[in-house]
Amino acid sequence: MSAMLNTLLRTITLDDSAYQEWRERPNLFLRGIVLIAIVILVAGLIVFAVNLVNLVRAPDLGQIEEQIRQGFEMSSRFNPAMQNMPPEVQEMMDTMIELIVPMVSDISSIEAPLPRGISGLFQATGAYLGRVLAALGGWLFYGALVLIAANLLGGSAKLPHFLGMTSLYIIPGLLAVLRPVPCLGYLLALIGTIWSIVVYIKAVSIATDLDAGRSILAVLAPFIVLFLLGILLSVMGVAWLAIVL
Amino acid sequence: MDGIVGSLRLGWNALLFEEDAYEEMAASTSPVVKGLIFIVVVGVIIALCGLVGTGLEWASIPNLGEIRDTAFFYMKQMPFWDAIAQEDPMALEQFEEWYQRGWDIFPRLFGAPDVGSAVLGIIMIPLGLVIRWLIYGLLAYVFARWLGGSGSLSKTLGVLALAVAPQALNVLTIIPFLQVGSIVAVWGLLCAYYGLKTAHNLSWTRAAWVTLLPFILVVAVLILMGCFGSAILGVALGGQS
Repeated sequence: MSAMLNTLLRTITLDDSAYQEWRERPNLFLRGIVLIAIVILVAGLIVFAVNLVNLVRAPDLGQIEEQIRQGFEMSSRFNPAMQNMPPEVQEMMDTMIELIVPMVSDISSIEAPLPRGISGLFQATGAYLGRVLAALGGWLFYGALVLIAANLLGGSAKLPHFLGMTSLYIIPGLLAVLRPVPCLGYLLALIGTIWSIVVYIKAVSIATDLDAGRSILAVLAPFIVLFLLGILLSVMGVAWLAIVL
Repeated sequence: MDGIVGSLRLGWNALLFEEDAYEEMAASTSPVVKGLIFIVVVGVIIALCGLVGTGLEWASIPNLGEIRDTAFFYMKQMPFWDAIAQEDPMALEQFEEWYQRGWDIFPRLFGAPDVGSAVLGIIMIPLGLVIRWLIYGLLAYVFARWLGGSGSLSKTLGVLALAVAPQALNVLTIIPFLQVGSIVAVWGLLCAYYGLKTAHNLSWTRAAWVTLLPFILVVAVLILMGCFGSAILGVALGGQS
């Protein structure tokens, strides 16, 4: 276990021997799935705890009321149409606000059949685990596209082996655990993302035996193709609408 | 029972892209029957898990009927209500009808838990999986043969049944509010690629095309139908004006 952790930590420093050690481990694809799941779960732990507390706590009706009033106040301050309203319309708006506040409060206090603590736990857990599945889905999808690009550029690797290697990209994502830290959190998460891309490129290079330049191209190619495809589809959609309308 | 356990073991290995699993399925005496049993078992299990998850989700959210009635109670007190009631009482009746109908339709469209649909899923999910498997299998077989594949239709259907294995991830819907997302579709497509490559002895490029062509065909047909539909609608509306 400690040997594996050591290998994983050394992959962050782009140590060739660590990538080779990881490559030679059995069931690489399954290991990749477990690695991604663990890192996403650890990285999202603080966000999960905050969500759980927010969802389990009973809604603060006073705060909801204050937020609604502030929202209307902001729109009346910055929306010119609301500033120049005739007095009768203004009176109608005031009456509506007086009704909307208790309406939202009443709706917020409608209870679910299960106690708030349990339903809050369900909601927070669902969102927490959903992130793992989303990360795995993205890893499979993008990995398959990168492998196609790598094969076209002269590299070769079996899909499960390739995916197992590229799963290493997730390790720098652990920095995302610090995202809730004010100001610094987002910067660290950004550094983690850039680092992840570098680790991904290195893993592609080791898995497919491509040189660094081709590996970078293989990793970027799906993004470029999907981006251009998105533009093409948008243009076609707009052109079709222009013809029909 | 051994057959079901054996199929589930094959499904697990197929999920991990182990070529042996696809080869074993293709070489089995009745890959279609084996595949059909596997799909039905997976379908029923995920439907049952979905039912439990939907039930828990339903019990975790406030009663939608109560929300609807509370909102309506306050709406009737708003100034515009009286103004419309004096001008056109019929309009208010119509509004109330639409309001009730909207509450019947929109929450379901936006994912509100529907226990009735989840119960129906015990039949509809396995049925849907089987229909999708047959249609995709048939199209993939035609494209595979066209691109030089050597497998039979029964082999093709057998290996493609294993591509249903990622659907098993839907058992996680037993956890309320968990969105499984696109992982099932992506993983299923990759399993289908592996199966078709194995069953038809295709190169990776041809196997990739055979995997994608049925989807491309269906999307192209849908786009064409959409174009024709909007053109016919345009002509019909133009004729009326």
